[in-house]
Amino acid sequence: MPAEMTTTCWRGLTIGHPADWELSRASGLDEPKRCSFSDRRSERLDVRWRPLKAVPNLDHMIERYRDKAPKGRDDIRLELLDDLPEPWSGIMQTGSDAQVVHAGRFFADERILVEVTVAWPKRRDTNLERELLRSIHPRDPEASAVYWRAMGMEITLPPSYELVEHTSRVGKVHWVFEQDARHGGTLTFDRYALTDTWLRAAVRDWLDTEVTTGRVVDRSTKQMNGHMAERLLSRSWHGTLSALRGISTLRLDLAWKCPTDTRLYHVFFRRPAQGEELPLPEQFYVQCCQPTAVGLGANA
Amino acid sequence: MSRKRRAKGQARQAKPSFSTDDFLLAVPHRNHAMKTTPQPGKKLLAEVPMKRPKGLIPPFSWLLPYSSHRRVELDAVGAEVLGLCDGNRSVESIIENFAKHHKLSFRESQLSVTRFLQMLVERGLVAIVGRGQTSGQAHEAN
Repeated sequence: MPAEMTTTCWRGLTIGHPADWELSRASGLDEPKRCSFSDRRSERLDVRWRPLKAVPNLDHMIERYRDKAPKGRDDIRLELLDDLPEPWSGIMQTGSDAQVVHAGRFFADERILVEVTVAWPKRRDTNLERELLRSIHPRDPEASAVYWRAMGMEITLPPSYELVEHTSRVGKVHWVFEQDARHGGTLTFDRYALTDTWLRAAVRDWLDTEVTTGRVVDRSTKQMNGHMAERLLSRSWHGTLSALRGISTLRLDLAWKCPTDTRLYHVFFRRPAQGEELPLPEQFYVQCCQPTAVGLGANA
Repeated sequence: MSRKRRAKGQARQAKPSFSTDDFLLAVPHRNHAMKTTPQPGKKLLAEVPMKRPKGLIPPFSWLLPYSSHRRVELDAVGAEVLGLCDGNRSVESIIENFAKHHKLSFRESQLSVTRFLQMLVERGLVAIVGRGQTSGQAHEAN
């Protein structure tokens, strides 16, 4: 029976994996699309994907992995796999202490090539491997909203927003999304951990220390996933010409502490605007109350 | 053995190469000579005696400032991690405990605890004993 599974959705690809295989690498804006997952001991899963115009020959991919394998070693065996879920193709490298499966699939409708490497340090778990490969799929390009789920963050946004920055440090996950230049909206998501050690003040007071520029236009509260969030609307002007035209930058801050996962969520939306209101994008949604994966034990 | 060679050998011994697995199974031991004093706000002041440099004899010692103890102030989180280093728990167990207490994922906790343990080792408050090592060897290294 495979371990408890979870999904990661990153830059248009959904990947199912055991809950204790945590995301250890996620590609940024100018990098080839890639995610790696590690268990407590070592890297277990590496997924790379890229758009392709032509249909690739997956035999070439297999040959490439065959060429990469160390030569002249008796303890390393290579074998073509015929037990992968259709239409995945793959090859397995068996060494003295581990098995490594390389598999690839071209998603013809979305025209995306996905290459997966799974490491099995003890024994290959074909059931889990099949479940994992079946779970991988690109997002529907026609979908009206994009779902992101990684690093404990789970959000939904309109497709016009592109991830431009992401960092994951101890205790803080930070994502920035930008809309095209015409709309000029910027959405920033921060998720803070260890709030019991550093958040001494009320969320409202903490928010005041975060929003240091601009004039406060409105202050209120709003329900976010059943929790009371502090809402702060502020305005700042950039240049005399913009001020004369009545164009300012409105910034809407939302902050709340989730009592379930004890994280502090801070979302702010910034956009040049003429009015007094700044509505959040229609498909905007942030999920909190995330369970933590500790205590599940290493899945070998 | 010459003094230079012995020093080289000790340096080599002090930097063993650990795999992630070895590190997770290793056990942090507190320095027996360390004294801790609780501070307000769940903070902790840890003091470890330092060896007096050989050349620091009068009259140089009258001129050069020298402290007989290294003092490290730990915040509440640091004090909690040091408290978990009881000589029985492995690094993995400390990471798990810390993660459960603060509702962190294992990896989040691993990153913070590993970095913190490294700092404690550098300051001589803790020694990490791997498989096949004894705590006595660790205290010698301290």
